[in-house]
Amino acid sequence: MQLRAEEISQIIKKQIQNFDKAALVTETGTVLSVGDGIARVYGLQGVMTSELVEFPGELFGMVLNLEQDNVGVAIFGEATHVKEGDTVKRTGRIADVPVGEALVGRVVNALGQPIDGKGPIDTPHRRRIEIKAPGIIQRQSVKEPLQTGLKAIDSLIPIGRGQRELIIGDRQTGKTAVAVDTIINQKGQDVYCFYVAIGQKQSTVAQVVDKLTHHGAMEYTTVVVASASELAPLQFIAPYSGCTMGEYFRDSGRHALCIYDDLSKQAVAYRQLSLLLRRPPGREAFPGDVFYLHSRLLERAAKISERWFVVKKGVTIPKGDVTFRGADGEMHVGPYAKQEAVEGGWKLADAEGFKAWEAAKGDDKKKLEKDLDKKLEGSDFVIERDPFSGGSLTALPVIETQAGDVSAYIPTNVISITDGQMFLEADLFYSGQRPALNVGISVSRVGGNAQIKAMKQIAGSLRIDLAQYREMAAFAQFASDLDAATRKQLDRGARLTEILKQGQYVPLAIEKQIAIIFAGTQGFLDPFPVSSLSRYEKEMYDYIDAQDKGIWEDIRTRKALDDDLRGRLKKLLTEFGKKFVPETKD
Amino acid sequence: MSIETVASRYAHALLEIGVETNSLQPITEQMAELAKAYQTSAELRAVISNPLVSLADREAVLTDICAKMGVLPVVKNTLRMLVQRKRMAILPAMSRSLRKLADEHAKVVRAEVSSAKALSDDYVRRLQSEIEKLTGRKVLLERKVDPALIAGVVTRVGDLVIDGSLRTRLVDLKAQLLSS
Repeated sequence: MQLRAEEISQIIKKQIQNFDKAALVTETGTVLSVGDGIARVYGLQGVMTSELVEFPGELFGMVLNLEQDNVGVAIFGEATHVKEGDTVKRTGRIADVPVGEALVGRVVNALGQPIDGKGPIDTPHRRRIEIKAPGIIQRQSVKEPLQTGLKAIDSLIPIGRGQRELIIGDRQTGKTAVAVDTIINQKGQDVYCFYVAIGQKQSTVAQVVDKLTHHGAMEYTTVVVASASELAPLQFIAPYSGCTMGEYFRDSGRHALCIYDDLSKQAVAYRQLSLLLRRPPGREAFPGDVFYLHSRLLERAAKISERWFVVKKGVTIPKGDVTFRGADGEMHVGPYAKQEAVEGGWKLADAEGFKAWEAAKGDDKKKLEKDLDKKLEGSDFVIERDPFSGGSLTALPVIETQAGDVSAYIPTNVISITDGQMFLEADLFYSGQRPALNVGISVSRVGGNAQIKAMKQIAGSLRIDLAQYREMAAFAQFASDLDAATRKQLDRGARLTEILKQGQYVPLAIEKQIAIIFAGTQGFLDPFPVSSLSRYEKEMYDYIDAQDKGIWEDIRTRKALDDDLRGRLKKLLTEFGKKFVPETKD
Repeated sequence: MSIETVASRYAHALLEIGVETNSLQPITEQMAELAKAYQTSAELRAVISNPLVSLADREAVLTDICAKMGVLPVVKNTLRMLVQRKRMAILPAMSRSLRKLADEHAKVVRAEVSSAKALSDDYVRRLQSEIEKLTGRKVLLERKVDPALIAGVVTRVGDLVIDGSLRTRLVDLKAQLLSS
């Protein structure tokens, strides 16, 4: 933002005019003791919990403990110069961060201050970092898919917009890779992404930002960084800051995706804070409210219900105003909101016709509906949706396990909070199965509703085939002679496992995923050796591109695999199967 | 139990003794002086909290100090008890707590007024009556001169700071100009 010389003198003029205003009244306290980034302050009567207080030298802190005669403050910065007897001032401000479109494409710290050297963040909006999650009235069930672009995930453990799906695994199993691929795949999907890096190396974060920029994903992504070198209080609030920034989009009718990488480090930072504040330690020395720490964060992920109104033509709905009522004096919310609003419209357009419709049954009712629709069109009422409703915030928390131990405290907590989890395993990773997803124990508890129908149709047989394969594979290890049916099942399973492999940074469109999984489950891959399948996949896409490019569009728009599409896919795959030459043995 | 909680228990006991024997003010002042001595003298702390020095020797040191400062027997007894119970570390917190309790008991508030130059008595009297009106309590006003304020007056009543100094306004002006 560039200021002109006149503007500057205008500002100064205004300041000088207001200069002789009343004396500044502040509440203060004095530092009793300070150490390890925690200060105990005497005084500060009337201070609120999680309020920001100011130490000498423009140093801020957040009030965490309110005790009988002193206050525990976590200091957001270098605390070496704070000493006993220093004056602490109240600011009256609860910890907040800047939110809005200005943050898109930026890298900020946990307080929302830019750290990418691209100048100040120019936004008029600020929001508190701790906001209560939306209630049941404001929500609706998850129904839109959030495509990750990863075959293994979109087919077997689909994620919906507004869902919370945990990414869990040991170190170096590709957890961040799954998250980054998901962000890259949101290009052109109108999803704003927030990547919150907690307790990571600066170099790792720089790499992620670099990759996102390289793939054009920074255009819709904000990165919130509280690296390993930053203080525990900042690592503790970073996920809340990122969530708050995402909520701005959720509450204005848009879609946001928040990735918390990772929450085990946040829990460790919170444990440090809590122990220094002398809160009693519990299991693994975590404080008693470590469950609430994560549940209140993840509960803020939501799919917001749509608000429908009957309004007079020409009337614009005040965006996001929950006190607004339509021409029928109602706000229609819930799964049947649109239908209710239409009925409200019918009633206004033709009260008698509406009564007749209510009394009617069967075919008569359908006929009357058509008449009422026409009447509504002719009247000066319209049915409209509040553009600030129907948004979503999807959360992908990441948890790092130690040697695959998912029964440790933090992993079990977060598993129980989220709507499903994807397990990444080191063994699979090193055997070349990447993403190293264990599809046997990974689940998605709500995403199935959000899967597009075509994928649902073929994913069913994929899941069964893979389950049978796993069972057989364990059994077949001991058997030397296998009957043909078992042999066939093992072959099929090996091929299906092979096609779920996918490279990093190459998310795949849903229609292509459907094509390859269709080929696998329908046995089109059975004649070819497993080692040739990655080449098969690539060449198959090219072949379909050349022969029947329209099929991609058709799968996407029709959503379900009808007989026509099945027929076309089968034909294309049979023809390609004749042309494809698997590698010959040298 | 935290130091603050322990200190406030002892302070309450001392307050009641002070009220019963009608000697609250000297007790409070003497405790404050002793706390100051304890805080400022590293040697005193080293001797009094040192388990290698025998209890009798430590008490002798205390008796000498108390005799020199001319404190009341009840204050001396308090100190001896603190030494015996190894609670000397709470002395500063206890003194602070006692001061607060005594002020509440006497219904007075302490205020501090700082100014760049010495204030006239008339002004201070007016200020005092204003604060008394504001708080509804008797005010004990302490004056301070701080040339760094440039001009104006800073009044502190308990936790509340009413800042009318030129320095603060200049700092605010700087912050506002930089932010816009």
